[in-house]
Amino acid sequence: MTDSKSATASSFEQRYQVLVDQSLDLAIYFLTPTGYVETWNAAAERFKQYKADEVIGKHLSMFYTREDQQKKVVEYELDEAKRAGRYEGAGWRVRKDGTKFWAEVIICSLKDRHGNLTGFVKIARDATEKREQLDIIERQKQELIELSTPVIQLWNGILALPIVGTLDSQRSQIVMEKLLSAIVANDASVAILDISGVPTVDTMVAQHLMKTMEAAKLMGAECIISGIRPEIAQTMVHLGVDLGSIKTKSTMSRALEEALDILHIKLATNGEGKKHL
Amino acid sequence: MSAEHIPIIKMDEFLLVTIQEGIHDRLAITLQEELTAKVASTGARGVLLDISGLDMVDSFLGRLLSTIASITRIMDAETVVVGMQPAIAITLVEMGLSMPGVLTALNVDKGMTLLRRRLSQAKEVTCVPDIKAIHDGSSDRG
Amino acid sequence: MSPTSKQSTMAAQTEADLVSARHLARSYAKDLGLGLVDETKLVTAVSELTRNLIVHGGGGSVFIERIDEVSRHGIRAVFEDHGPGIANINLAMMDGHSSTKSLGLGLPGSKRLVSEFQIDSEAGKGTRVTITKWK
Repeated sequence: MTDSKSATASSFEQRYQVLVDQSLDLAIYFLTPTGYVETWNAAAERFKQYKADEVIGKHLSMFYTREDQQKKVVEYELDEAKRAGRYEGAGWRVRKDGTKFWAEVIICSLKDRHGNLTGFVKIARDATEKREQLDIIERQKQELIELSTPVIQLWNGILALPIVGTLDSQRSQIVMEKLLSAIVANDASVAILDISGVPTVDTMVAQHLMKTMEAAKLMGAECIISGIRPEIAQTMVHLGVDLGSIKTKSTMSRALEEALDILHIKLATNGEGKKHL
Repeated sequence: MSAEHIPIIKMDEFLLVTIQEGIHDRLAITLQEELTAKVASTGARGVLLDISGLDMVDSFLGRLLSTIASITRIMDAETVVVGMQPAIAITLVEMGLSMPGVLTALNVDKGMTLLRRRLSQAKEVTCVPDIKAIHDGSSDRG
Repeated sequence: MSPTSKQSTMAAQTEADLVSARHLARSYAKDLGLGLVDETKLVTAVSELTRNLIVHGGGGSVFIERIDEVSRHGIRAVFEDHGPGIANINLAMMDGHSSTKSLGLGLPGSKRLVSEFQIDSEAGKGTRVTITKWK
């Protein structure tokens, strides 16, 4: 009996050892209750470039950036793992050669049968590529927001902002700030916000638009919304959005006429009723 | 009594007040009182409140600006709040303080143009521009 | 528990303290690198709540701290007084309600300017308002 039990245990340990040693993508190692490295595996060596004898007995904080060390991030993570049993997070870590990599980590606390902390197991993955891709996406998103909201000076004192694409909360905020600062920079008394390129307008976006108008009014400028498509007009009425005193025009050219009118600029008309400047 | 005052400058038939950063509540109330008195004594037809130097307007100050505008309007002098910074405008709107009925302009020049235009429109409507101007402007024409 | 790097406490009794509280909030906002709009919102909320302390609470204290968590950074401000307290918080948080002649935008208005807003009050004991603005 005793023999067979120990054989099972050893084969379990053996299996576990093979699993840890042969893991290519996961750094798996144990820590003491105070955060000192107890074991090391091949993947850990590959990510962090340290050999087992260089790290065993050293404190976990050696892999963290100086800034994170000062902010006591290690202590925070271990405290969280101790409190909740498990900590999951991500951050920049430092390799032996000083370069950084983005690590996704899980730290689990280990406790004995009395509930006393006996240490931690840390599982980490090098997610630098994923992180870099996410950064690129985020940067492109920002660039797209910038590019997709040009501010055009139509006339002395008249600005136009044609908005193309979906307006979400974040973009509405950016459009709002961009419009208001453009008003100051261009000394513009009238701004036309053209939303003919916006597919849908929900209550939240409508509220953002109204806030933008109100803020522009407080600064001493007038805002006109142009290009409200029929389906958007219907949605807004169904949603109960009250545009109140906000000026709306069907097209950009009508909005421009209105803007010129606000600035007391008269247009001459020819026989066909077309307006010329 | 506070020894501090905010200077009130007379420009033709208008009064110009430049409110500086760091204004405290008592000084703001002093301004309201002194400005009201000055509108009465000069017979000014408009007031320009330049707040371009302010980096914050809370509900107290926002309300005070509205109150000044209401008081001067009763005294037949329109108030224009000029030069509000975008960040302040966004903040006031977010708080729900959009100062309805208060005239605004981007800067002092545009505020002055707005006041002049409103004044001339008012005169056109009443159809007695010359007499009205002589009566109302007698004390402040220089 | 989060690692904290900076904090300040000041007494708020007079109008001069109100101006100081705004300056303090602005320096924390600049230090954190908040955008101008968020900086203005925070300073305005601090101004509203500090005035509340002085006018309704008979003075009190303003505590401001920078919060650095692993994944987010922000500023927290706590306004505490030992004044009469607020009997009906729900009523006080309604737009247009006011115990003095102000328009009653102080509490609900400042709530809209920050990321998190918490108010604790007990009649006769005082009021504590905690606001947080995340970057």
